[in-house]
Amino acid sequence: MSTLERKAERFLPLTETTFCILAALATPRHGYAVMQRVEEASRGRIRLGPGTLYGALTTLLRQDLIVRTGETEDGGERRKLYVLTELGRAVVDAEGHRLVEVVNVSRELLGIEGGLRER
Amino acid sequence: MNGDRSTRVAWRLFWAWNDEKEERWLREMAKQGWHLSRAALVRFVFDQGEPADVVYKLDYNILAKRDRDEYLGLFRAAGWEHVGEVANWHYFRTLATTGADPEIFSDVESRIAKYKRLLYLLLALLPISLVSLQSLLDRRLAGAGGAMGAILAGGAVAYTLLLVLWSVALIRIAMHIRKLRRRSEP
Repeated sequence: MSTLERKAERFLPLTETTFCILAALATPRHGYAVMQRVEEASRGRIRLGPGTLYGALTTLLRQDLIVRTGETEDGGERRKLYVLTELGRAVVDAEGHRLVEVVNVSRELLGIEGGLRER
Repeated sequence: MNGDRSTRVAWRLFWAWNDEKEERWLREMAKQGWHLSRAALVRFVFDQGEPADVVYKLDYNILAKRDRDEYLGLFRAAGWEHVGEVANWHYFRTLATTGADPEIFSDVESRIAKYKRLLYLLLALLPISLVSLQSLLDRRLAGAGGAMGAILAGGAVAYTLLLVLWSVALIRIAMHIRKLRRRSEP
């Protein structure tokens, strides 16, 4: 296990909110675009509140999991862009693997082959 | 939303750990056609307009000047109007929709984080208050007499009351955080 992976492990497990925000920032996006992307990807289930998102972005910046990367113009407003750092990327990957592992173990225990039942 | 018919001033005190009560009150006022135009700790100014179901939400955030536009822009994009701010409390509102009420926090962790920001600020300022009280008492005990002595004594009493209130606030906010955490547990 590399130093980066070990460092990433310390951030796990992530809350669903944090995981989604980080995953959405695999490509540079502004805050509102993160909200829209997460809502879209979750088919409307996860709707991030602006207070939640702002607080998360502040924390993730402080933890060096994301950085600001310039500004963009959208809807007549200047918005700051954010993107994952190398460490942030490692954290998303580590959490992704952890979640897959959780699903695999559940399948094994429940005796489900293929996939979980549709809801 | 703001009519120019008339304005009304209301004086009310809300505790920091009970801001949900304040949010409900502002919503009730809006339903009666009184829309908040300015809040200043205990003094609320309302403009008369059409009655509407408006959801008010309060956030507590100590913003650096350079982060302000980003913060307000995010709320605006999500459909929230910034009505005003007082002592790091930000007042937001949006029209109620059918279904669940709009929220500025979508998970319990961030809702708790709001009260933690407030708690940490109060904790950080506590030593300063204690030192001030100490120096007041020292001078009083050093034998300042007459009018000066009386002023110092008055100051010490006022400071003590402030510290008591401060402690109550710390405890109540901590209790509120615990309640939110418990509520979130299955």
